[in-house]
Amino acid sequence: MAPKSVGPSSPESFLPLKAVHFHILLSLLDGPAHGYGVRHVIEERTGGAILLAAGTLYETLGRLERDGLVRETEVPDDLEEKAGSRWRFYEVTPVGRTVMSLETARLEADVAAARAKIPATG
Amino acid sequence: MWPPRGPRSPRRADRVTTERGLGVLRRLVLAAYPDWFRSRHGGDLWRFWEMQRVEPRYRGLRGWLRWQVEGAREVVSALVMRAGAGSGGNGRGAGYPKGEGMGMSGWVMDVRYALRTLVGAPLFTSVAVVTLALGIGSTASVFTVLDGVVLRPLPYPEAERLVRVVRTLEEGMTPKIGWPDFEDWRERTSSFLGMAAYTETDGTFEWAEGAEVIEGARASRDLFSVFGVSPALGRTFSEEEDRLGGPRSIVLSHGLWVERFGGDPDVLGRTVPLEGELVPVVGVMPAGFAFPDPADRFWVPLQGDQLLADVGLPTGTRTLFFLDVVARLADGIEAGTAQEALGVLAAAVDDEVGKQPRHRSAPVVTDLRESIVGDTSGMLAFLLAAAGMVLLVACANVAGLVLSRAAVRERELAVRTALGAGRGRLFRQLMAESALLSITAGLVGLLLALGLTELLLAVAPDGMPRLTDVRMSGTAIGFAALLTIVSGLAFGLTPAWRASRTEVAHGLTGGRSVSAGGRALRPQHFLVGLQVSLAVVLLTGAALLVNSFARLLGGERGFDAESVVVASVSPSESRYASPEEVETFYARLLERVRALPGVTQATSTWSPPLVGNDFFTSVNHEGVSREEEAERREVGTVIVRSGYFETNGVPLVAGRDFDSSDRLGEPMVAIVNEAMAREFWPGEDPLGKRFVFTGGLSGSADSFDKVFFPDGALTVVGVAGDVRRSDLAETPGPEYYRPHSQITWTFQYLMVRTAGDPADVSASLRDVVWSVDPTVPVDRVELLSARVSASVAEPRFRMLLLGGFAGLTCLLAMVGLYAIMTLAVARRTRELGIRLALGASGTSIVREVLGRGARLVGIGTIVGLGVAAGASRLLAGMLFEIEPTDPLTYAAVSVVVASVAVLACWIPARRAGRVDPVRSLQAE
Repeated sequence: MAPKSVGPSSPESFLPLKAVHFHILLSLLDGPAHGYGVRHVIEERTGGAILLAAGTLYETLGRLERDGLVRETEVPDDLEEKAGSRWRFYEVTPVGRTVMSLETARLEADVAAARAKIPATG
Repeated sequence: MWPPRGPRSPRRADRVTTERGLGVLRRLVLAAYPDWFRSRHGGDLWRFWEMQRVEPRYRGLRGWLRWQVEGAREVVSALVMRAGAGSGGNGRGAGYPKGEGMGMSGWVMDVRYALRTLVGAPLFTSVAVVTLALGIGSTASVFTVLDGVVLRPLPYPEAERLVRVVRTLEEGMTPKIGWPDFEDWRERTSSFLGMAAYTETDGTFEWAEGAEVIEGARASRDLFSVFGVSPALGRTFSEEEDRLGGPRSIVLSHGLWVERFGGDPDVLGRTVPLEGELVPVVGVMPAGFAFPDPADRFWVPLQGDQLLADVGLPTGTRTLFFLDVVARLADGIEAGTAQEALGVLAAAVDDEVGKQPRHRSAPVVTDLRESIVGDTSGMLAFLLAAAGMVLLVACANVAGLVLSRAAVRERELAVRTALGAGRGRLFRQLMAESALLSITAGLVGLLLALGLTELLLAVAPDGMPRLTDVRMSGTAIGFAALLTIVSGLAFGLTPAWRASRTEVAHGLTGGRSVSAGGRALRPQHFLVGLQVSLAVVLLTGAALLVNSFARLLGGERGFDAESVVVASVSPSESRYASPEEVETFYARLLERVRALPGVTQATSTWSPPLVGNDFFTSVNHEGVSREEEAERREVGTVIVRSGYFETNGVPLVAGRDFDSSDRLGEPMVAIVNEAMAREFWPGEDPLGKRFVFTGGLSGSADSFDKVFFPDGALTVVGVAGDVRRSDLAETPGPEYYRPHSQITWTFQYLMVRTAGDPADVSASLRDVVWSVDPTVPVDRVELLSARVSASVAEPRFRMLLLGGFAGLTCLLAMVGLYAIMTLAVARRTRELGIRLALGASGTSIVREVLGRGARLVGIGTIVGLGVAAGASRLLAGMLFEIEPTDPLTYAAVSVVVASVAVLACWIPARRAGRVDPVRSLQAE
């Protein structure tokens, strides 16, 4: 069942990104991955602070897919034997990349504003 | 590091987890997700969990707990997603594309589809609904009666603290309590907040328009406070009024107050003419209070000492047992403790007054509601079980219908599966249909139950306690709802499960083969067999009860009840104070009654058969030792007049009837029954033998007055046949008769035997009595045969109910049998057509079909008879002169079932034999 795309909407309309969306997109920026892989990466990157449950993860992936920020993709050749072809793999779409770069810029601006008031501690 | 290689330990990662390894919760989570989500991500979710499960976080006990907790959270979010998807919103928060493309919530769709399907098959739907409604209705109505009579608490505050106190439960000893004993217990006990005594009585009220006998009770002053009910008007009795010689007073029931005083709030102080005196009304009880009997309409002070004096006994007589006692348990004390404490107290009192062993009390304290309900709870529970079997048969019947229909819908279901409907979806769909069916049936059944309950109340024996408390309550409705849910699951689950597993190919090609598999119909065969078994069980029970009832009615009663009219006559004691006056009245009355046209015999007695007024005295041989005396039981005592035996058709097997020589002051005579003759004088001729009253040691507080236990012996002048006096099912015990001329009360029953229509005599009896004395009330004019019928009201009730249930289940089972035989034949049309074309005779086919049906019914019957043989032991207590395993009854049931079954199979069998070979082969 192919998801309907919502129709042309500007990347800006996706801002601000929810934290979960952000982290998932971030994980996928390195390359295609399956659901569990995304969870693992996020866990490592945040030092265990963010642990995605299966349902949350796939629900979000589904939304991102519907919104056109990620899409399903083929199993990468090098992972064919290891992970097998049973997993669904996802990758970021160009729109998704654009959204991420916009979001990153927004976050930078916010951090800079905060940093101006709160000096970094050693 | 990319791509993630998963958990560190390769060996663990390779391990294959089965569904079981991930726990129940994850399966629940999957089930909770909407279909479209599950079909898209289900596999990934499962693999995700497999990998997640072996992470270090989930090791050990804490890890396992963490796994469960997170699983529970996932269930919740899955349900939330499902609910969100159902709301049909399309904002950013909503889920993505819905399944089946209709944009509506899954549940609502299922119900609408189910409704369409059911409405589109009106015959199936109506049959299923009616069948199920019958089952639910019967069970719910029996439960309603059970709830009102047995389960519901008594309508008094904290009714569970109310108890009844009886003297003893020993066989042959009266459970009632004596007045001085009651007073002592009441004063000295600490186990009860309050203790009250009462005895039922009638009062003759001489209203302006005529005398009326009204039922009421003599009650000790604390009866109302023990129950915790305050009078609606005025007060209850004072201590003074309850004493010997105290002022008269009366408390009216609400109904009597409205009827006689028009509900006048100024009724207090007004008087009523009771037993020749004007008694002031001191209080009125609120509507709904009616203790001890629903028919009681007034209460007067007990005045126990006065009562003793009225019957000529000295104050303080402890061996006249006539009181019922109720009490309220003290806080923190249970019935068992109270019984022990009271036992110690009673023993102490008995010792103090030097009671005979036979008169000692062994008090028993029982819950008041239980004592009122008695055996009824057992009988009603039994009837509820029988009704439950009807429901079971109805469910089996409907399950068969649903299964057969599912087979018919194979094509539809296969198409839907091919188009992508998941198993879960189909299952839910079919369950929705079953749910709709059972809910509709539940509602119809509830309506049915309302009517059936009324019917039950109408045929219920008058003796059944608390019938007035029966009504459709919340509990009963809740029970009906429970039945609805359970039956919906019972008949819906298996067919839905099976149907949701339809093989697409099988369904689409029509699934017809030359020899239509009997295997396909196996569940329906089983269901029909089950129905037949249950029907047989109920039929056997009903047949046993019918048999027993017939024997009860036709059995040896010892008296002839045909054409005898009974009426109670109560001349007031103040007007007829001396025995001579009483005798004169009755002599004159009987003379006039005998002169009525059609009257062949007339007599009077204090205790006609089956009317009550059982009276026991203790007697023994002359000069018997104290030890033997201590073991003597009480013997039935009947006060009669000459002509009693003739009027009642009781044979005098030896000696003579009472006659005019047996007068007051002459030596006392008695006529004994055969049972007493056998027991007291085995092998001897009882005529001329003597026996004495044994009232106690003369000179002690227990000595008795002339009226009940005169000095001197009674001489046996005649022997009468045994009579089943109180219960047609009981073997008569020893009893003796004394003539009214030597011991008399004012209150007696007239007994009149007629040659013609007894109704004519009934009509004129009152006038005849009033021609002698117009102030004497005549009451309870009825036929003795009606009393006989009323005395077997309970067995009749059981028989009618069980018979009704048995008939219903038999009908349902046969309809089920017919349906499945028809279906089986229809499926075999091609095969039968071929066989007929190849030369088989129609008759042989008919025989074969009948044979299949016979096998099915045969197995069901054998199983049913086996179960019945075991279960009928439960009936043993209700059967009269017939064994629960009476072979003739079982044989009769088998014959009945066999014949009805042949009837049910006949039409399908004939149809099978008449299949047109040509057309059957063309049909596709």
